[in-house]
Amino acid sequence: MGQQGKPRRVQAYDGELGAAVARAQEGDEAAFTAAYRLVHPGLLGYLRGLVGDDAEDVASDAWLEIARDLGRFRGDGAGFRGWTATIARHRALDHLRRQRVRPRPTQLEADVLDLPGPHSTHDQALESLSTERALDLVRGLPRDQAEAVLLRVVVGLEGPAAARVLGKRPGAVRTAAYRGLKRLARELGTTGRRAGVTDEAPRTLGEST
Amino acid sequence: MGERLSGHGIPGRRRAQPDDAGPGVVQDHAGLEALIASAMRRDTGDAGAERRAVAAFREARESGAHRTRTRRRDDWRPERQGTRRTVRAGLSVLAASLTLGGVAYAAIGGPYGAGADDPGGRPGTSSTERPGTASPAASPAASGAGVGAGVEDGGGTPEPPDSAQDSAQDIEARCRAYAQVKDPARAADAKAWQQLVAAAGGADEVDAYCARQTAQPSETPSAARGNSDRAASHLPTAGASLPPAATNAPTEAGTGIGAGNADGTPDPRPSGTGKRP
Repeated sequence: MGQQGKPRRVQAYDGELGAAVARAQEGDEAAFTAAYRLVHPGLLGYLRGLVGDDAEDVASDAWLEIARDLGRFRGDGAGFRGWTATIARHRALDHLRRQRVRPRPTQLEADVLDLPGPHSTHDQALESLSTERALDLVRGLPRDQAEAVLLRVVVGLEGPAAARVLGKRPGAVRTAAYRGLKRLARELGTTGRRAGVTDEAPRTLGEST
Repeated sequence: MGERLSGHGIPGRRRAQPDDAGPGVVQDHAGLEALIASAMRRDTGDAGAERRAVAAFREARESGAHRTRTRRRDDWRPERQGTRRTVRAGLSVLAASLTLGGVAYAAIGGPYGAGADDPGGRPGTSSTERPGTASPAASPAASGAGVGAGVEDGGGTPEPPDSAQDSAQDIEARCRAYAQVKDPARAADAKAWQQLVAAAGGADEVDAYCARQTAQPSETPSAARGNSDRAASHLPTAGASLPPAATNAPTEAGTGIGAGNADGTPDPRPSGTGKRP
């Protein structure tokens, strides 16, 4: 929420999403479908990071609740993504509690063929990152970092919204996201910058805290 | 973007949010973010899931669920500036309310009444002086209230004959232990407490029971016994160890209970006070 210089890609659709949600609240089924299609991929990615293979089941539970409580929601497109992420997170935590499992890295094999060698210094070589590899890496992060990264990057929430979903201070979430991304960058061998830089650059970045 | 000073990223203008003031946080990872985002948003789910969601939407619409009210957690409007401050203010108010409520609850002499006198001697704060204050008053108020409750119990029910004359010292020891246990939850576990409950005939009776026991001529006319002794002043067996201050107890009835009766309204449990000699 709030204005920033560079909108995230997902935010390009937030206006459309907000309008769809409003119409859905009036009973427009097509609008609900449109909203679903805009939100579900991010939600599913977030849930994969939280619960791994059971993400689809948890997403089903979440959408039942979202559909049922749709009339209660107040807000715009960005707010809808925050609201749905909160619901999804609650369902995920319930799921984990029921299973009494801790979030752990998935057993999915890293698809190394999708990745260039670790010494690549240009982003262009990393044009695509396999879903499995991304998931594997994110799931390997400490829980708070994983959630912060997922909410900000996959769900596309801004700082305050992500903090609200997690029930933490924005500063803590920002720090966790930064650390998580730094670690991911290290593991991927790049910081993801477009300009050609050496591998050493990430290591000279100052610690934020 | 590619330029930076001394190893720190320049705080990105691309994310010019007032609250995001930190060393080059995310713009250094923009490419990485995009990679992760595209990788993890690729899965659009199956058509069956969408159908089920739409069906749930339809069902909720038909049943009128969409006319339900917005709860706080459902309000994601962007106009909610300073949400954090609002939440904090709300929590402060909540904490204060709970504290006052706790004092009031203690004043009415909840299950345990907390008629515990602290032999260590809390400062003789009188709940008459601070009926509305928070936790410092809670204990004196609780003590006063507990005594008050004990008094009512003692006054309302005929005093049973002391069935434990032969173990009066044991009972006193237990009462003393009880007095030292401030936390009702811990009290419930303490063996002394359990024995007291059994002897007194119920958790609610313990205060009165201890009051009666300690009112017996005993070797401990300590200040800590003051409240219990004063409470016992209303009972047939007034102990020899009553301090003179005990007689003042009734006059402070209305205001002695702490927050629960801060306005001094007459109350069936009048006479406990938090004052210590």
